[in-house]
Amino acid sequence: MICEKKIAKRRIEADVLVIGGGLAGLMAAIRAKAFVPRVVLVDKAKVSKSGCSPFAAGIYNAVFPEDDPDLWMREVIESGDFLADQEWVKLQAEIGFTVVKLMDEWSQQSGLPIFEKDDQGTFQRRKSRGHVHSSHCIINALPMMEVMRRKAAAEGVQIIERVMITELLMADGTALGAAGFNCRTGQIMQLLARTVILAAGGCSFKSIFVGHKNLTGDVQAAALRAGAVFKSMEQANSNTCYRGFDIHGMNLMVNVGGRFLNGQDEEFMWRYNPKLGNRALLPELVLAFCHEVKEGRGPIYLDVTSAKPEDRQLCRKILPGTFRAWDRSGIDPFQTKVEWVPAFGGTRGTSGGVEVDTQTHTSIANVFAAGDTSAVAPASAGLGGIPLAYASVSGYRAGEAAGQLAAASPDVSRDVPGWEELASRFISPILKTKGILPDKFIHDLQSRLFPYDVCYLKTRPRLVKALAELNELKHKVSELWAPDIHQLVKANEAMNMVLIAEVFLRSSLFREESRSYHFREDYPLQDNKNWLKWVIVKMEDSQFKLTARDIPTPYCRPTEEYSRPKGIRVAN
Amino acid sequence: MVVEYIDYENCSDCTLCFEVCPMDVFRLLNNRMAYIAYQSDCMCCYLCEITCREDAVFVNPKRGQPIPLPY
Repeated sequence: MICEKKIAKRRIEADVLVIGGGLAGLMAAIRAKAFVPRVVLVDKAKVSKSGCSPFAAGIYNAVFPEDDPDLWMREVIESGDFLADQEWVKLQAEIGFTVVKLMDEWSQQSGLPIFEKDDQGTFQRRKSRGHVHSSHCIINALPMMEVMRRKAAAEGVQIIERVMITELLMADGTALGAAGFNCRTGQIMQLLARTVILAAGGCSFKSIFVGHKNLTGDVQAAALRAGAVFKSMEQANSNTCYRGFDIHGMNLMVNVGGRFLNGQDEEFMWRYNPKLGNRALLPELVLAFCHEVKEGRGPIYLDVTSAKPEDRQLCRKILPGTFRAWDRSGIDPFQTKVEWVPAFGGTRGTSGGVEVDTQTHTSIANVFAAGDTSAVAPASAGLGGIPLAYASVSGYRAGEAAGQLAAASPDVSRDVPGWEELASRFISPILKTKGILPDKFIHDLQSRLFPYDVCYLKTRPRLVKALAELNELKHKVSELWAPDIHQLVKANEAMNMVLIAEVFLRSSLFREESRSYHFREDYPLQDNKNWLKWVIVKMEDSQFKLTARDIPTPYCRPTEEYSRPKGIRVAN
Repeated sequence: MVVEYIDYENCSDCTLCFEVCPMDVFRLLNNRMAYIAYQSDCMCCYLCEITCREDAVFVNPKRGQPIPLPY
C-alpha cells in the first residue's frame, strides 16, 4: 500500500515480453514479431548500448558451409570438458550460419558493417583463443548492436528502456509477466504477456572488465525466486584484463602475437598447454595465472610487442575503447608488456544459468531464456566467439518458440495476485531513512567472492568460510538503504548479486572434482567416472536444492575415466 | 576520475550522453543540459565520449570504485 501512495504505476500488455536488449534479446524480439503483433522489449539501460554485447571483443564463431560440422562439434564439446548440451551444439552447428546470413543481410540494408570482409566481400575468418579446427568471424560490436536495434524498431517491436525488472509474475506455477520499476522516475511497471523471454545477461558482480558493470544477474535472480531450474552454476566464467583499468580484447591481441609472461619473463603457458600455449582456453589461462602467482612466479604480463603494423591497425579498429584507454594513460601495449590479471565474470559468457532445452524453454511454463541468462548450452569454456554466436542463435530460437506459443495461447492480461507485495519488497530500500549504502554492500560482497583462493583455486574449507561470510552479508540485505531512485537500482542489484553468489558457492561445494572453470584443490582431477554430470539447482521455500544429473553424450564421450583438468601444469 | 567533465563551451545540449550511458550516470538540468550526477558509477566504457558529436565529454580510464582484485 505504501507503494501506491508514493509512486505511480504503469501496466503494459504484450503477446511476447522480452527482458533484455542485448544481442540475444534483440534477436528474440525480431524473430518473435514474425508470429505475434505485440512484442515488448524492456531493458535496464539503453537498448544496443546495454549488457555485454556492445562490448563484445570482435569475434563470432559459426559453422560455415565449407567447415566440417563434426570437427566443430567435437572442438566445442571437448573445450568445455563435456559439460555441453550436445543436442544444442548440433543445433547451433546446423542453424548458426543461417543466423549469420540474416545479420549480414540486415547489416547491408542499414549500411553499417557487422562482419569484417575482404575486398571480394568474403568473410574474414581467423583462429584465436582455443581454435584448432574452428575459425571465427570478426565483428564490429557497436555497429552490430545498432543494426539490431534498427531492425527491431523497423519490425515494430515496442522498446521500453531504463526499466529494471525485479520479479517474474507467477500464478499457479505459470509466468504471466514481470514487474519492475523505471530507473529514473521510480514508476512501478507491471508487464503482462502470454510468453516471456529472459535475455538480460548474466551476473558479473561489477567485477573488473569493460562494459559488464550493469550485469548483476537481475533476471537470473528473479527466475531463481520464481522456481526456475538452474544448471552448471559452479562454472563461473572468467576473462582476463589489464590490472590498472577495465578493457577487453585479449583474444584479438593473442591472435596478433600476444604472449603471456610470468614474473621471471617466462612464456609459461606452454607448460600448461603444449599445443595451444598462449591461445589456451580461458579456464586454462586464468587457472594458470593463479597457479603461477601462488607458486611465487607472479605477476603475469601480456606482451603484444611483436604484433605486425597491419595487425596493430586491426586491433585499434576493432577495440576502439581499449585503445582510447591505453592512449589516454600514456601506455602503448605494442611497445611494452602490461600487467594482466584474471577478471572474474560470474554467470556472464560461457557459464551457468537458467536451464533451457533445445527450444530454449525453461522449467517454468511460458518462460524461455536466451544468451547469458540461460546456462550457455554449448558450455565451451572460453572457446573464442561461442558466447556471442550462442546469444544470437538462442535468441533466434527463443523468439521463434515463444512467438509460436504466444500465438496459440489465450490472452492472460490480468492483474497477478500479490504483485503489489512484490513491488513493496523491491522498493523497500528507498522507504528507509538510513541503512547500508549499496556501494558498501557490493564492495563487501566482492571482497568475499573475488580472492583467487575462493573463486578460482577452491577447497571445501575456503568455500564453507566464504559461504558463512556471505550468509552474514545476506542477513544485512534488509538494511540496504537507497537515498534516491538511482541507488534503488543498485540496492536491487546488490540483492540479486548476493543470491547468485550463494548459488555459485553452493554449486562449487557440491561438485567434488575439477572440470572446466571449476578447479578444486581438494579434488584436482577431472572425474569422468563419477562426475560426468550437471549440477542442478532449484530454490524451494527459500532453500537451495542441489542434485547431479547425468550428461547425455550422444555424439562425443571422454576417453579416460580420470584426466588432468585445465590449468594444471603438464608433468615433465 | 572516470567520466571527468563535460566541456559546456562545446556542449550542444543534445543529451546523447544521457541517453546512451549504460550506467545512467548523467542527469538533465532543466530537462536540457546533461551533467555528471553519479560519477563513481561510470565504468569507463567511453560510449558517451564516442557518441558526443561535439567532443565535449572526457573520460579518464581510471576505475571509479575500488574493486578487489583476485590477488
